Amino acid sequence: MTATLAGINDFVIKLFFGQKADSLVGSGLGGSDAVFLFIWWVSVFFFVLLMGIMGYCMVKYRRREGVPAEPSPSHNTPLEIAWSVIPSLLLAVMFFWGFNGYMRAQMAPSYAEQIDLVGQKWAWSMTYSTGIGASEFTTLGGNNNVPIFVVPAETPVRLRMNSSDVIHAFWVPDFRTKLDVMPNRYTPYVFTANALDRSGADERVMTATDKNDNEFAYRDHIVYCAEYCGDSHSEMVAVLRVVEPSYYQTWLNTPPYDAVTPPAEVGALVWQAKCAVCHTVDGGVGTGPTWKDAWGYPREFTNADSLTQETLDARPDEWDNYIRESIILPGAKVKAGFANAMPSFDGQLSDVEMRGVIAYMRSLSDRDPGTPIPGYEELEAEAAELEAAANGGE
Amino acid sequence: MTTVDRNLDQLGDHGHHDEGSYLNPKYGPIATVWDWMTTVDHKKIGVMYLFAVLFMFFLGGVAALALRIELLEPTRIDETGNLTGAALAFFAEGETVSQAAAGQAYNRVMTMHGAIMVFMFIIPAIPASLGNFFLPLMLGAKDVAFPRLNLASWYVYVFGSLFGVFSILMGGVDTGWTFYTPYSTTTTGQPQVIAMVLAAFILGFSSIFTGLNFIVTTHKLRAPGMGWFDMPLFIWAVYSTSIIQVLATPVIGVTLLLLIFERVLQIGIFDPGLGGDPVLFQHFFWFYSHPVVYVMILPAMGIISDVLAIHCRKRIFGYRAIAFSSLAIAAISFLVWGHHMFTSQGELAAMVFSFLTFFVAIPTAVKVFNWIASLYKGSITFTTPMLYVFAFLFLFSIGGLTGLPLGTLSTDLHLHDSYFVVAHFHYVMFGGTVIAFLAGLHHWWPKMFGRMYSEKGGALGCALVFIGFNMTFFTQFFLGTQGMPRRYASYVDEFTLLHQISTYGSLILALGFVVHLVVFLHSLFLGEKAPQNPWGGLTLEWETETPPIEHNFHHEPVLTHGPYDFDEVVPPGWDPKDYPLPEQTPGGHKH
Amino acid sequence: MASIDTHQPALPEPGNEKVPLWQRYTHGHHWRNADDEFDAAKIGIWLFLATEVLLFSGMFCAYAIFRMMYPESIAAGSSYLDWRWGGLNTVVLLISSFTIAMAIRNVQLNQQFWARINLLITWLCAAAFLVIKLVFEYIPKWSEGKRPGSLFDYPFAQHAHENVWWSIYYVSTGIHATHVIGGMVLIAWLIYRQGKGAYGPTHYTMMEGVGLYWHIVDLVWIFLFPLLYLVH
Repeated sequence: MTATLAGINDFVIKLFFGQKADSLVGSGLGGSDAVFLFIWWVSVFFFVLLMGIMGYCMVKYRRREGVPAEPSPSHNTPLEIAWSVIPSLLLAVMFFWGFNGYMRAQMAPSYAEQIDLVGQKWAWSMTYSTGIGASEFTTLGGNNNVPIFVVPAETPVRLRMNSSDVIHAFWVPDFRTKLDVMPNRYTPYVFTANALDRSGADERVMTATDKNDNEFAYRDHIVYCAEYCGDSHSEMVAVLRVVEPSYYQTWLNTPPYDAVTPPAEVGALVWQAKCAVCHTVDGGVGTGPTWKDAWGYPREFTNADSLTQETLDARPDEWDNYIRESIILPGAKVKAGFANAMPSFDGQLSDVEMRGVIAYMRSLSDRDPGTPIPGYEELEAEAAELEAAANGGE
Repeated sequence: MTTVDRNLDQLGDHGHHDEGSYLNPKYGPIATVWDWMTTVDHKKIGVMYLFAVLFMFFLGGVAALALRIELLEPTRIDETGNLTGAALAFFAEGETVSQAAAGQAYNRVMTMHGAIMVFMFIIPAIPASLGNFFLPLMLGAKDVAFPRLNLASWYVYVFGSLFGVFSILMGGVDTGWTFYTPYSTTTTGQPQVIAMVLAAFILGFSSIFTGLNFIVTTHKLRAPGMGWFDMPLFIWAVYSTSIIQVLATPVIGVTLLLLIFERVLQIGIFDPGLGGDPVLFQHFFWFYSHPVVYVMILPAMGIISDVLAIHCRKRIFGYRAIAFSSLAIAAISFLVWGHHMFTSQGELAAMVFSFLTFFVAIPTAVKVFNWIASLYKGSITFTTPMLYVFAFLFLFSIGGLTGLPLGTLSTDLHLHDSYFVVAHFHYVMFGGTVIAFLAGLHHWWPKMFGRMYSEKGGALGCALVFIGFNMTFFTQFFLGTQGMPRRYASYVDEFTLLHQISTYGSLILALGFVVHLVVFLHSLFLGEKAPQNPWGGLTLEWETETPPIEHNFHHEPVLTHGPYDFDEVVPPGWDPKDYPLPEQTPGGHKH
Repeated sequence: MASIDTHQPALPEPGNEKVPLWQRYTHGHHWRNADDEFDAAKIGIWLFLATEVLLFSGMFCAYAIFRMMYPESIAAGSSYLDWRWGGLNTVVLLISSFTIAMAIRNVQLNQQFWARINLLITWLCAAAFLVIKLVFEYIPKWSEGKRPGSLFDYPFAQHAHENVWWSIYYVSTGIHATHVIGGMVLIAWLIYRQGKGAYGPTHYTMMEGVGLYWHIVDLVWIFLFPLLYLVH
């Protein structure tokens, strides 16, 4: 009997939540899913009861020619009190149960792993205690640059979230909870992910090998922005990758770039994490201008003097300045044909990352400064001649 | 249906005997148009409102279909760089469009659907059209208390709606109908956003005018002999609605004004960058917009009470419980706005609002129990209005019950802003309000236009609407629980099947409305002439002619029986032979 | 139950133009009698006043919330206002409230001359209120850079959020001033109609309504004045 009920309950949960059972520690059927099941059974009971009576009356009391309606009472006080009080008691149970679960979802122990999370139009970015962010990306829905955020299993995690523009909301459906991400304060998203079951019983648990040949198990959970935030709201997704705590430490100590990484590679990572949702690198259309063949070309602005060829010839650094200014103060110069839609990234990029972005944009342009500036070849030839002459004179 | 006495003019032998139907043109074509445009007759204004809101319903419905078609398949950029599955891409400028541009087009249509349906259709739909027409008639009055204010309300409505349409023609707004800050104060499209916010602001006045008028009319213009507990339940519902309209609308007024100042002058009240608080906007907004949910549903509940009683020829069960639950809902509705913001406010506020939210569930549940109990021992017909009552009871029960996991804190954290919410409020707003509106429209159509409609056509339309609606929105409950956020222009591939069922359902739903349109047009031009009292109603609107004469009644009616005394009174326009009364029971008592 | 006259009232007989308009007034055809119509109008006005109170209560709410969020900025902002100008305006509005009440009393007693004088004083007080507000408060403050939100440009600001204070100040007094302007239009209409003899002991609905409205405008100021000028 109990087993049958549990089976039916499992079926209901699968029906509503797909194959994804609640992945939080200490919840599962003890968390919001249990409240949901309770509400489900109360609802089914009342719905079937009401529709049953309605169907019965539709048949039994259908109008027949010349047959009067039976006289019936206009009210019945005990009945009316009963159907007010009994549902009230059920509602009280729902309230207290739900409130209890809600409060538990808000609390994090002081030793929780704290990670910073920033939402902006239209990407999530995380900054770990080591100062680094996501280093791997995947494709999900229509977004080819979905960041993968690595988090430890069995460890309380506290995301300190804030937004750099409008209100967003961080939602992990598998965790059954979401919270708004505000522009004017931090909000905490607290969770403890279930242990990874390597036995094969959980088909969501996979194993892989990282670039340092470390074998690790993981389970991916999709992250959505649940508060409407504009054009690419539906592409504002991320993947939360739960790994074993030991591997998490290994991963945390393997930064995606270091002092010897070429700047353009750092820039490519930053682009994927923060810029790719609006700026393409292949010349495609986007909310913002493409980065392909942009650097070094003259550019018209809607609200500032244009960047002319003469200026660029005279001061080759002008494009670098323009990039830097646009990251910090996006509204200062807006390219003709585009709206001023970019949020400020002031304070979000380290110096290394800022230089990386500039280097990456240069590498995408056919006016790459790696190619000699005009007249450079003659100068070099002259220098070589002089050198040769100097050598010859020796 | 039993045979009906077709005597059209039972009361027409004295009084306003020289007066014809309010529909009869008295002048030439141009003068008649002028007569309608300047009329202070509540019936004509009601009809004008009816056509205006139906037009807006059409616009909002087209937008809804566009959204569903866009969601038929997820938007993707394929290997060749072309956009696939973006049905709305043609809205975006330029030849090659990006995913973002398709998203922007979707967002604008989504806002158009929401803003039109909420501000221009569902708030005025029942009170301003059917309410305007039937509130004075049911009270036995010759007009509403302030007829000129009533006409002003219609013009303000049209003027406000024009602002809304104007903002759409200028390219559309992408803020969502909720105008959440700081998105709405920073998004591109300054003139459109201001026009749409102004539209909502202006429409508020129309709503206040109507509400104010109805409250005073109910207080001062009841027929002699009509006490508060002799009023039809539709009047109770419209009265409660009007209280909400009058008390809640000014708050949205000042909120929208602040939003406009914010947008134009950056005054910083809601702008976090200038020290303001964006959540304050949400509080202000929902302080109005939650009570307004009951502006939408209460009149629908009133219609259901009246239609059900008449078509079951049955005294409504628990009259006072239904009447007081309307008032209770109106009162509690002002205290629950925070349940729209469980994910953006502190624990204490969340707890209080969750608790209060369950309070509002009780009077609503009591009403449903009363309606079901009213069917017991009735004499139930299966006319189109009654079919819609059954549809209402089915759909509204689902809508109400799915509100429970949204009011419960821990489950709402998952379901908030997901498709579950979308499905829930469509079950309440469409499955409740629009279905009841259709019930009322069919029920009162003969009285309004003097023609019967085709019962077969009506039943077919009802069946299509019912099936289409359930296909469209039942799937969305599962989408929501499985993790589909609302207001998404695209989605991950696993949701495709459910989205497709939903879209095909919406097409069936649209077909149902086309059937209704055809039935109504057929009725207007070719319909059988309607008798005075086709259903056997006891409320006062059935005592006058069909369609009513210009001043409603030949003589001021005097109330001699309750609105639902079907066990004791043969309705006006009926023959006792065709209307057998039950034997009186000694225990049977009037309410 | 008495049957009511459902026809439009007969137009006044030619030649009786000497009879004042208010005596010739007949109630709307959908009313049983003029008393019902008057009562209904009064309920309507009171409901309208309820909407006005709720409109301003939104602003009062915003005031309270920002006072809690930034108490120093609000206190500092308040200290820039001169209570004497605010106090003078309070007195002006109180006088106007008194005179409009007197005008209604005069009409009830058919003292048409004094009614006219009182209405004119009321109108002039309203105008005086606006002039004081504009010339001695808005213009100097605006030109000093004490402006709302992003327009704020006051070089000697001591607190970070004084711009929010000015937003609240300008919006709440601005909405109030708009109501004063609306009241002036209505009072001007009353003066015009009163000159035509439209109001008298048996018919003064419009005067009563505008009077009540004017009292609410006054009352809102009675709340705004201490909140903005006096509470530091």
